[in-house]
Formats: sequence, C-alpha cells, structure tokens
Amino acid sequence: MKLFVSPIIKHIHLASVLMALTIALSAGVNAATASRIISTDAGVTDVLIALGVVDSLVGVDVTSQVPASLKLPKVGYHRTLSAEGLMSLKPTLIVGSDHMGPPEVISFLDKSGVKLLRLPIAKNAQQLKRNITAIGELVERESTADELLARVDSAMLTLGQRQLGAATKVAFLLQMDGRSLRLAGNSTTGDDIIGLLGGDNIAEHNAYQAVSPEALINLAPEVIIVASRGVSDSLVASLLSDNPLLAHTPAAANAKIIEFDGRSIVAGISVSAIETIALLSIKLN
Amino acid sequence: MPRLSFSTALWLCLLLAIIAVTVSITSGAMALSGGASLLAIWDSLWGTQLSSLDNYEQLVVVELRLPRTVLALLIGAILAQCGAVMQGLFRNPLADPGIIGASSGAALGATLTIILLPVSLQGLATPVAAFIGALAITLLVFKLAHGENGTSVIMLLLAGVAVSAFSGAMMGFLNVIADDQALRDITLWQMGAVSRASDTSLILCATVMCFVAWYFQRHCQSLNALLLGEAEARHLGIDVERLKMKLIVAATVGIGVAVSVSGIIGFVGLVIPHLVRMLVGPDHRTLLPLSAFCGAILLLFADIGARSMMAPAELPVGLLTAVVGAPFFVFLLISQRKTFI
Repeated sequence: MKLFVSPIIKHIHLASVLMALTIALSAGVNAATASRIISTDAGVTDVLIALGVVDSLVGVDVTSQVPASLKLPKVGYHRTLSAEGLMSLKPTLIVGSDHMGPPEVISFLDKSGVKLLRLPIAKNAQQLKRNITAIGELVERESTADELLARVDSAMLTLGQRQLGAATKVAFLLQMDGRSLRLAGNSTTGDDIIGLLGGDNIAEHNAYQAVSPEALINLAPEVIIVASRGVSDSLVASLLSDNPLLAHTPAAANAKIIEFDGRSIVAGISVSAIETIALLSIKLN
Repeated sequence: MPRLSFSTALWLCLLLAIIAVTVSITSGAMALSGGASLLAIWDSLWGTQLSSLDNYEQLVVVELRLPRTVLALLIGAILAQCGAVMQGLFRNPLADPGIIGASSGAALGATLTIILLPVSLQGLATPVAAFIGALAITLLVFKLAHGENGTSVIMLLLAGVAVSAFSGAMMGFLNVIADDQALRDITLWQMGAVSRASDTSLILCATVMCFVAWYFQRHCQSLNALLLGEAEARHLGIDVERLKMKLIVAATVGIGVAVSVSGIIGFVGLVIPHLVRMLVGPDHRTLLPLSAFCGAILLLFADIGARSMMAPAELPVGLLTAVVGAPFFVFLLISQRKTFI
C-alpha cells in the first residue's frame, strides 16, 4: 500500500507547493501594482520616476518635477501637508524628506497605519545612493536601483578624475530675472556642487544672497557657474550682456563661465544633477 | 438695515453655528458619508460601534475634522471679541489687533524663531515667540502713548503704526538673510491656519476664550460709557486709564494666544464687530457675545473652504478670511455710508 500511497502524497505535496507558489507570486504582483505612493519631496519624486514606478505615484508635493504628461494631484507644500488631503488619495506608502511636516500630520500618519518613509535630503553622492537603495527596496525595484547607483558611481568617477584645483575660487550664481544675481553661500545646493567639483566657494555667507557685479569682481572668481530657473539658449551670453563688468573677472578671461540647468537641483543632488555636474567638470578641465 | 433683537440674533447665530459645525464635520478632502461621520464622533464619545466608517476614516473625523472645527470656533470667537473691544476702547472703527502692533509683534517673534532656530525646535518655540512678540510690542506701544495726562488714543495709534513699520523692517532684514525654505515657512505662517490643532492648543484656546469672554463681559458697561467719550466716562466715575490698561492687556493675551496657535488671521477682528453693530446696535453687552458667535461661524466657514477648495492640498485660512472679508467690508461701508460719514 505504501508504494501506492507515497506517490499520491508526493503529488499532493507538489500540487500544494505549486499552489502556494502561485498564490505567493500573484500576491507579489498585487503588492507591486496595488501600491499607491505619495511623494512629498522633489528628490524622492526624482528617484521614484528614475526607478520607473510612475504608475504607482498618486500624488506629489508642489516642488516635485514630474513629466508634463503625468497629471498628478498636488498635496501642497511638504512642510504644511494636510493629513486628510493625504489620506483622501488612499496611499499605501508616503515617502518624503526629514523636513516633512507639520509634526501633527506626521503623528496622525503614524497612527493611521500608512507606511511612512522619511529620508534625509541628498546633499552628496553617498546620501543620494543611500536614498536610492532605500526607495528601491521599498518599491521592489532593486535591479533598477542598482543601475541608478552605477550611474551615480560612474559620474562620481568622472568627477574624481577631473577635480578643480583645491584653491580654485568658484562662484555659483542664480540668475533670477536678468537683473539681480544671487550668490550661493554655505549650506546651499550650489555650495554642494562646488564641493563636488573640488573647488572653493568664494562666498562666506549662508543661503543665497544678492550680490552686485562690483562685489563679484572684487571676489575674483576663477570659475563662475550660472544657473537659472528657466532654460534659455544662452545663459552665459545674457549674463555677460546684462552685467558687462563681469568680463573683468578671471573666470571670464579664461572663458570659465558655464551654465547649469537650475531646475535639476531644486531638491538637492539628484542622479541627473550629478551627471550634469560630471559633464561640467569635463568642460572645466 | 433693520435691527434685530438680541434673542433673535442669538437664535440665528446658534442655528448658523450648528449648520457650520455639521458641514465642517461631514466635509473635507475625503468623501465620507455624512451620517457615518457624525456617528463616528458619537462612537468616540460613548465607545459605541454605530458608524460604518473604517478605522482610519474614523480617525480622520475624530482626530482631524473635530479638533480643527473646535479650534476654528475658538480662534474666531477670541479674535472677534478682541477686535470689538479694541474698537470700543479706541472709539475708532478701524482699530484691530494689527493697529496697536500685536500682529506685527507676533509675526516678528515667529520670524525670528523660524529663521534662527533649527527646525526641530520650531514647533514649540514659534508659538511662544509669537506670543511674547505680540505682548512686548503692544506694551511698548502702550508705554510710548502713555504720558502725564493719560494715554492718548492718537499717540497710541501712531505709535502702533511706527512700531509696526519698524518690526516690518526687521522682518524684511530677516527675510534677506533667510534661506528659501524659511522664507516659504514664514509666508505660510503669516497667512494662518487652524489645521494644527493639538490637545494643548485646544485647551489653551478654550481657557483663553472663556477668560476673555468673562473679563470683557465684566467691563462691558464701562466700555458702553466710553462710547460717550473719555471725559464723559471719567465723569461717570470710571478710571479710564486703568480700564484701558486692563483691557489692552487682556485683548493682547487673547490675540497673542490666537496668533501663536494659528498664525495671523486677518479681518475677523475688524469685520465681525462692525457687522454685529449693524445687526443689534453698539451695546457691548450684546455686541461682545454675538461677535464671538459670528467670528466663530465666519472662521469655521472660511476653514471649510480652505480645506476643500484645493484638495488634497490646503489653502491658508487667513487668505480666505481676507479674500472674503475685504470685499464684504467695502460692501458694508458703501451700504452704510450715511452712518459712517
């Protein structure tokens, strides 16, 4: 009897294992497709889009840049989120920066059982890589995350080979409206970019502050990076035509005034920003 | 405009308040059944299980909609009463918390903390600094206006304008050195919101609201006498200087607490007392409680609009009170031109 029974039992075992596998697989697929993600940070949105989880995004904050074809509800400014507004999008996961707030909304989200991930804003490549890994694991896109990490690494490699001399004086300018120039001081993304390039920020102050061309000439920058919120064809040309005196800086003399798309650095260092910076370093050396 | 009797106006206010509260509890960014939302509150009070809402939906009603409803009512009531008292005290139809520097002092205090302190400390420090700022600037203005011959109303108003301009300049300076994040925080703070209703702030506002209601009501006859003029009030045996001092401090405490909890919410304190005066007349015994009611109702309706107009994001409620309040005020001015000029 045993001879007959055991194959049947084996079959039953096999069937149940297969069944369990199918259930597990379908559950896995459901988990991936049914997740509804809200991103409250531009950097996180950037990583999520780069990871290809666009379909799961159900809401973003006002600073996030999403493809124009994507019509997503805006959940407001990431420091003044509305708890009920977030909940109305029925999210299963909310990812944001550690600046997310107000605290009352955070504690409500904790209570409501929605999964909440708060990541530090990426100010350097290490933090960016940590964020990519964390988000990649969460949305089960580890392989795509690895590709992104490789892109960051290769850009960092380029940057490492093409560092400016440590004493190179760099000015990072934000051109707001053609007239006023704002110089990036400490703890700005502009400062982080100068750091990545290996240069020395000429500004001593904090945040972005208005400067006159006179002050800039006095600081004698050897490299000027000019960023704008929009994209214009010839940012450098318009900078020099608006402020002809800047032609007397060392940077202008050596043709080391270069432009940078300011929109890629709204939320700290992103993958595309790092690649753009790597391209800059090639241009500068 | 025909005047209403006090009891008619009171019943009208109660009815409006009930409607406003019901709408506030049953509406929001999430589409929840109205009946079930109301039952959820009943459930949380008595531990029953009548509501058909999911657990997290009940949380939305009980922990988000209910507290902000109560906070909007309290803040609206505080601001409207303080506005009414300021207008009565200065016998100036334009007097409001802003005019003697309370709002700008609070804004300066809050701006200082938002720019100079790390984010982690701001939650607690901002309201405290706003309160201290409101109190300090108001007392300074009061001190400036206080001379040997008592407090001059003109001096008070002018000193208020000067000190407000100065703190405005200080804020401008702080804005120059602030980073973009802090700038945005300041702008949003100044536009006010009642969405951040913690238990502490609710208890604080409820206490202050009861205190100012009781305290102002105690002095309403003196305020009525003051309507005749300062000299007349003095002849009636009222210590006008002491009265001014006491009421200004009480109103500043009210405004300071309101501003520290919700940010700057304009026009409630200015428009509501005028509206109520037109409805029931200038007697402070009826003006003050009805102003409290109307202020509460106005702010609650404004908040309902603020959270549903741009859902899932939210508008600052102070923006809405200004947008609704300013044209309404102009309308009142035009329709009542004869009584004003």
